[in-house]
Amino acid sequence: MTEPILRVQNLSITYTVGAGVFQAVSDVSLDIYPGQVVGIVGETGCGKSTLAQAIPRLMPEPPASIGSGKIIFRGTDLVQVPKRKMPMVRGTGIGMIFQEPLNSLNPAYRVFDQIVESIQIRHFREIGVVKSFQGGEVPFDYSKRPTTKVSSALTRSVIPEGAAEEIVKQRIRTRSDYRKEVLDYLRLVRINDPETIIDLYPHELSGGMRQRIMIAMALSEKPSLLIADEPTSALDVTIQAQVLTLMKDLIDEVDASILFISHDLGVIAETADEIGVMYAGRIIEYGPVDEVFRSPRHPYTKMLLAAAPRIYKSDGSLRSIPGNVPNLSRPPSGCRFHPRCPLARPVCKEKTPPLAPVTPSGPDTPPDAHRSACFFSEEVPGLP
Amino acid sequence: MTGEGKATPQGVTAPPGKGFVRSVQESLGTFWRVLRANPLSFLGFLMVAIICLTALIIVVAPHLLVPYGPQVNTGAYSKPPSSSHLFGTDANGFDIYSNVMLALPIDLGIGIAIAGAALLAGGALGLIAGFYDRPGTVGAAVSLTIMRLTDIFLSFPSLILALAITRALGIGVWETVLAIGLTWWPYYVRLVRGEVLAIKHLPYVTAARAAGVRENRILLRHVVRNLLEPIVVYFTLDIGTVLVTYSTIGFIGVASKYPGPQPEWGAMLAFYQSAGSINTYPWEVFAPGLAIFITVLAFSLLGDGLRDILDPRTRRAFVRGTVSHDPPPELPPLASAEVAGAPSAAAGPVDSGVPT
Repeated sequence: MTEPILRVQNLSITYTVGAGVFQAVSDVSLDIYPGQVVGIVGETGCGKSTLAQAIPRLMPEPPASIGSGKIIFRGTDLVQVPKRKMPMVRGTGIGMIFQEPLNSLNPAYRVFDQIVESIQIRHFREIGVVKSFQGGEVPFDYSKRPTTKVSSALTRSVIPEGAAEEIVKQRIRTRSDYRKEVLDYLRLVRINDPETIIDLYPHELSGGMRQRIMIAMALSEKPSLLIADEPTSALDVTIQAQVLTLMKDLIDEVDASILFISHDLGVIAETADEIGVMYAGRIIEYGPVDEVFRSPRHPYTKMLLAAAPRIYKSDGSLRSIPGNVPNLSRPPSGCRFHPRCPLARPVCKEKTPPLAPVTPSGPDTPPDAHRSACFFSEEVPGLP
Repeated sequence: MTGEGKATPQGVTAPPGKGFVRSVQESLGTFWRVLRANPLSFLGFLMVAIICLTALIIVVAPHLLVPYGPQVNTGAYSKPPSSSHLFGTDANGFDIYSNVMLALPIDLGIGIAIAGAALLAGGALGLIAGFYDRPGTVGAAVSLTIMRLTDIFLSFPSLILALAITRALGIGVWETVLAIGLTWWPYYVRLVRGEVLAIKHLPYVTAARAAGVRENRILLRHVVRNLLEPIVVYFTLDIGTVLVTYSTIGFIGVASKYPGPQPEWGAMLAFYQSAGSINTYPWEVFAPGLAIFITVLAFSLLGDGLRDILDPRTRRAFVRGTVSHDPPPELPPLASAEVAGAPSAAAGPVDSGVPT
């Protein structure tokens, strides 16, 4: 088995706001392997965005702080990395796509200037002008990273194959070199007429276009892990479909693993290989996306799927999960879902159920792939 | 779209990589279009240009514009404006036009110097206080110190504080400049810090951080560029305010002496309104008052124009020749783009007709 590109181990994150301490993320473990697309679903406030921002350490510290756990990215524990060294890890290592395409582009700069900044950062690291990150057991060496399909096609024009390292280092790129590369990335995200778009300001672009520029920005860093934090939530349904199609196409072309955060079950079902369901800061169910959707083994997942509106269901009202999302400054003891759970027994109040493997529903599912944090996961399929 | 410098549908010449010269040309072109589209800012720009040019001529070659020295008795006493004395003469026989003109460089210089010094000092402090204020760091302590110091200065009425400092330092032009300068920077700290606080939490700053941009570069490239617009506009308007404040202190009589070797508008107003009767010799106070009025008005109008130029949104709107927004360019549906572009997307860039 290959090494996971990202390994999150028992990560806990708290927000200290005034006198209250909110456990936004508790004891989350997650592995992402090369080329994998992992989706995280959950309702608002379940900690999924905090998790996404915590991996490249983008959340404001303080008020947020990592209580315990490890974020091992390519052999380095990012929790131990000093804050001032984090810019070296971000960018070329971890790319991010944000939720709000409206505000995620700097209004003062043209599309070219937005994208070229991350290309320059990567370029400087590749040729060694800027020091790359050397912490941890496995040093980051940006120049020796495995090239991907797209990136090899892109860099070939700039750095010839087998060129002596000195020549590569001496090679200074001009503005038109950068312009060409930016245009390449605009084409990569399927922007028609990139020659015009490259000189426009963000306010002159539509929401879908802006989100594509965002994706181009994230891809131009050639990250090995791409974190998409609700990339389609702020878009119209039609544009949403376009962006999703684009992302699905890019998954094949760009050799990056993707962590896809969304509250939309349909979006996750479309894109992800594996799905993690979060509730009140914990991952309560994890497994291959087909498996989890076909036979959920946690009452919350089951009820969440039942609550999703369906186009062919015309009779009756929408189902909802009774009760409210718990206040994360005083989470319920034991299993955090027990106040709302139809299967709750006394033990659920006292002990926290571990995320344990469940018996797979079909023969083609690997035995340990599907895990659920419920004492009575065998009873879940029997729920209405 | 391969033609060099071909005009895009937006009416903007696409810079095909000629770099600096072209971008300067484009900026100047934009500048000119905005001014042309907005007559009042154009007037302001013209007025400021003329005022600055006049001040320069008076410094370099005063005899071109000023017929008499500051304390020259022309032999005509308290004469109303005429062709030989544009703004009349006073009871001492001094030519008022000459004195008003001779005061222009010093008044203008004081306005720009004080506002500029306050902008630089207050702006820098505001950036630090706004950007590096994460609790529990050294920056937070520095930021707190800056802000409390600012609050102390702001709790005094600036004019009274400037007067008090002037009195303590002694009467004179430079003492007054120093006094106003000391009271002026806190406004810039407040303004800049507020803007920084608003900008630094915007998603594009986080996006830049996620792209691996370092903190100092984020501050300079992403934050400062976006607060430039309100700051420059405020600065331009502020030059007028400084001028009025200086003239007020001059009017009270603690800044500079009039009549004297270096006339100043505020001091002239003070002298003429106390020495003569406004009813009998109205032209004496009219001239310095008009000078203050025109200068302040010019900078106010220019400030409005600059706002339009610095904001990319209004700038483009002006460049397109209309203030209303054109809709963003229509996009063909992705499906067709996929069919056409997807298979060649990875290989296409290298050999496609990219202009060089």
